[in-house]
Amino acid sequence: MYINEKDIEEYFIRQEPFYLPTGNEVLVFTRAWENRMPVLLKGPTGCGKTRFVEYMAWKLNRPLVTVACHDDLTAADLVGRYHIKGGDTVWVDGPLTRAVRSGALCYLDEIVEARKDTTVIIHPLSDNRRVLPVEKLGKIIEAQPEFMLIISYNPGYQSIVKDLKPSTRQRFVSLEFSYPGEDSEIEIVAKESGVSKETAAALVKIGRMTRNLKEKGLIEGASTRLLIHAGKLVCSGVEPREACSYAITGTLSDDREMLSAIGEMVDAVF
Amino acid sequence: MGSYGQRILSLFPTPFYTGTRIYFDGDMEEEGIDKLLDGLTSEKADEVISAARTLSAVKPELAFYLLLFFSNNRFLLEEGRLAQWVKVVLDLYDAQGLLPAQDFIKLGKNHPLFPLYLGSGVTLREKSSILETYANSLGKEQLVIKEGKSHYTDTTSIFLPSRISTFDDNKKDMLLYKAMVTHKYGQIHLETYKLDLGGIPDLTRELKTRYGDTDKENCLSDLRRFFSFFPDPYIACDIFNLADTVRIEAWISHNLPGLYRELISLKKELIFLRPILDGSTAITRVMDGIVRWWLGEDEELCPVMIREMIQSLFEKEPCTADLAFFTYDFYTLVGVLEGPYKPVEQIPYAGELRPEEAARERLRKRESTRLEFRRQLSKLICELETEKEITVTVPPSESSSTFREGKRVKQDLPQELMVNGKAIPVPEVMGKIIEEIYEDLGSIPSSYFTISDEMSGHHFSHLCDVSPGPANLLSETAEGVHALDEWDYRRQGYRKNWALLRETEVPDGASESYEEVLAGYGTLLRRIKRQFEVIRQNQVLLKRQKDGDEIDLDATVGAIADLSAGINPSDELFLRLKRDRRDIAAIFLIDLSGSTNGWINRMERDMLLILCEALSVLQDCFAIYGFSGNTRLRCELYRIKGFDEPYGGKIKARIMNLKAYEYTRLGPPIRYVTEVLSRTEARTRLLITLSDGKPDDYDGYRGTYGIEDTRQALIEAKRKGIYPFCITIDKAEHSYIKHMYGEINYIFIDEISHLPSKVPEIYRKLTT
Repeated sequence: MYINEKDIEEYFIRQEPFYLPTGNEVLVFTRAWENRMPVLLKGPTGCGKTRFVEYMAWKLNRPLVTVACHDDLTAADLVGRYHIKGGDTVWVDGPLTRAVRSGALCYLDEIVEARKDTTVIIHPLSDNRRVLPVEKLGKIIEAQPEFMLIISYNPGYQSIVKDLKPSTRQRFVSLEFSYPGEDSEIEIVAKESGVSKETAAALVKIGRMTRNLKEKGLIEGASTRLLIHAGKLVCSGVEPREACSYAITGTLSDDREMLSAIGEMVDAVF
Repeated sequence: MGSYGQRILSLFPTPFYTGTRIYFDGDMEEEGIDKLLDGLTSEKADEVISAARTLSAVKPELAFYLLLFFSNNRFLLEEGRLAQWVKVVLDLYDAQGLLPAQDFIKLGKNHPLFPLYLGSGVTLREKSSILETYANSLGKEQLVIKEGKSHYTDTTSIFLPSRISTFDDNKKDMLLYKAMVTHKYGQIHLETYKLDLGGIPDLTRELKTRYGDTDKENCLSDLRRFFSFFPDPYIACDIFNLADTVRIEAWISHNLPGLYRELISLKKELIFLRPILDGSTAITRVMDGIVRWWLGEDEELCPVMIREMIQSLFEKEPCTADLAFFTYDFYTLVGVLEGPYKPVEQIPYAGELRPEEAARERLRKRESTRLEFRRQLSKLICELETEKEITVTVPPSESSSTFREGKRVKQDLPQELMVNGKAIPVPEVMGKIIEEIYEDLGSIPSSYFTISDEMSGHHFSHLCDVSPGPANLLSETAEGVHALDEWDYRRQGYRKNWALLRETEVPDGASESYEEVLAGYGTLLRRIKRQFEVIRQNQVLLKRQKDGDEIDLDATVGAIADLSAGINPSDELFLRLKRDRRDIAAIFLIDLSGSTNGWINRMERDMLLILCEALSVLQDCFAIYGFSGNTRLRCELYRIKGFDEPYGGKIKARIMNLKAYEYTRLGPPIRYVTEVLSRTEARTRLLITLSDGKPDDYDGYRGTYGIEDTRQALIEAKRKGIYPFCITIDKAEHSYIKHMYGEINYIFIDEISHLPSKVPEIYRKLTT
């Protein structure tokens, strides 16, 4: 069996990912990289933050190391730990250390989800020192010039306890993301899912209608990602209304009346 | 004897008296009563006989009429609504006596009360929430659905009939509701009511020349004034309404194609429901014909020229001023026909035009936006701490003319305000208000910037418009006083810094000793403590695991030793922290309003003592607050136990000193303790409220207002990751609690004396 397996230092994105810039984020990101500054991406779920990072990794021709943060993520998970190998203890670098050594782009997705001790270890990496102290090895690793730290978070629904501390956020260049404009979003949905422009426009219309309900019953409206999911289902032959019901309606809410209301919106558009 | 004869006859006594005759043995068979259900399947017959038995138990005559006039009500059996119908008959019998109930049975569907009780169709009550969400999804506008005698919008609310039973199919009735909501949204979105005669001076002049100067300048609305220029304003109004519907349908066809497709077929069905005009004047017939044509009937009904005018209106995305021109042209054509005009029935989903209502609502909104603007402005100036003389202006914008080709041109929103010549960036909250003002007026009138000295310095106390309550009011600047926002459901927005809340400590030192109380609950307390000990868990470091966070050095040394000794080493070499420890912070918010005086207050105190004893076993982090208040200017929050205060004699004494105070303003205390709770780092954060009734306070904080504010405060808490739960002892209906907390987030304790045993149990269940 052939398994496509790569070391993370070799994970280069070879094909250009589809990304439609909404402002001058590409330029700002490139300048930040040239100036060795870390970047913070803010924005709602599914609006294209991860895709943007992939696109930039391709554009800058750097390997991309992505870590999805969760509340059990420890500093050791990022930096590395000792393993036992053949009766000896062997040090194994964590993804962050490997990125630092190889000059990769290291993307810590949803950083606030990680434990607080984890966020602190990125401090010396994200100021002018650009070093990673590895306590257990008694070493300090200097980051390669091409190394860049990128973190993302969604300020929308995180609790105050999990908010980014000022000492962390004030090290970063902030790029704010929101859902793309209507025309761009139609283009993205059509291109990513393969549906016609008309169907994409209808899906985007539904997406925008649900976003109007933010704080009027929904915590968050449908993301571009959800619209693409619905589009993919349509493309595979699922009837549009049904596709929306599976990919959008059911995903946004469990409330019976809200489900009916979203159903009415879908019916009005398709 | 009929198939079900025996069972039918057993329903009636012998002899059986009705109002008109006495039935002796054999009379019923002679009349054929026993055969009335013949032909029904046994299942259906069972259903009818069971209904008749229910009626007969109350009044045998009702059962008799059910059988006698069964054919009139048979459709209910087919529709599965017979049981519901029986209930209505019995209610009618109880309320009005035998004869009305008998009539109701006899006339079946044709009884005038039938549609009221058993009407088919869809009711607004069951669909309003869906329709409101749908309306709000269409755009940024915040809209409310209300029940009304006619169908119209005042641009903030959409009024709909309480029930629609136009079709046999509920789906179509619902579709009609949806079309109505969309039409009204279209009117708001396309600014039907924002006709500005100042923007079309040529048309106004022409109208005056042609029809004489009948201008009613004192009209609240320019649209109404426009209609008044015509000799028959009703014709003008109906033409305008039709034109508006045409452009709204064009908008629907572009934006909601799915709905438009359904609307086309709905329109065709609506033609058949239109009354046929009899002996009307020419103009009435023509107007009716045009509406019919628009609904999809024959082209001959509508003159070619008018057809073309309407078609071009449909295609060209007209603005409201264009509709006025259209109305004028159209009127010129039909105005010459023989009158008088008897207004024809409008298209059902188009409803009525109510320019005055819209104008009044616009003025109300304008005034509230103005006040809000001034409030924000004074706040901004306060923060700047500038000198007394203040001049505020908007920096000049590039686009200065407000009208272009009859359309109002929206100016760019200012990003800054000039305060004494210095540019100050517009805060976000204020930006939204400025956007509203620009939407309405196109720019900020200079009068909005006139701020009196007293306002700028004391924005809070001088801007309150509610007369204060009788007792000592709090001052915003006093120590320990917090100004909190309050949710006003009517405007779907917050009243900023509206309620003043003070946190105070409950004084200790009560007459009754807590030891005695605790001794009285000896057995219960022992049981609860035992239960709580079972669920107590600490974090445990598990050694010798196959995987984990750290290497277990002891195990590793052992393994290396084993290996050197030639023994197969164990692979269990890690340490793991067991994660299922309790990590809970809970706040108990206790109702200390006047209604809890006496027994309830006593039971609350006992309950708190037991609860604290139980929680101290668990070592959960918890706090207890009591609340009461009098108007928004004095909400009191009594701290019984703070998170950082250890449970001991002092806390017990405070509990014993709890009293009932005044009113129940629930929103502010919830908002305040939400902040306290969200500052804790616990993984699970609980807010448990113990209450004895609806939110209620002296200054209008009751009914829907209080409930909606409380609900909003709870939604805010949920957004901050807090789990709210309510324990209620309100014996009245508590559907409002379901609305506030959610279906599963409350529990009702009917017996006050069970509070001390139930509350710890509820807490245990909630947290395990």
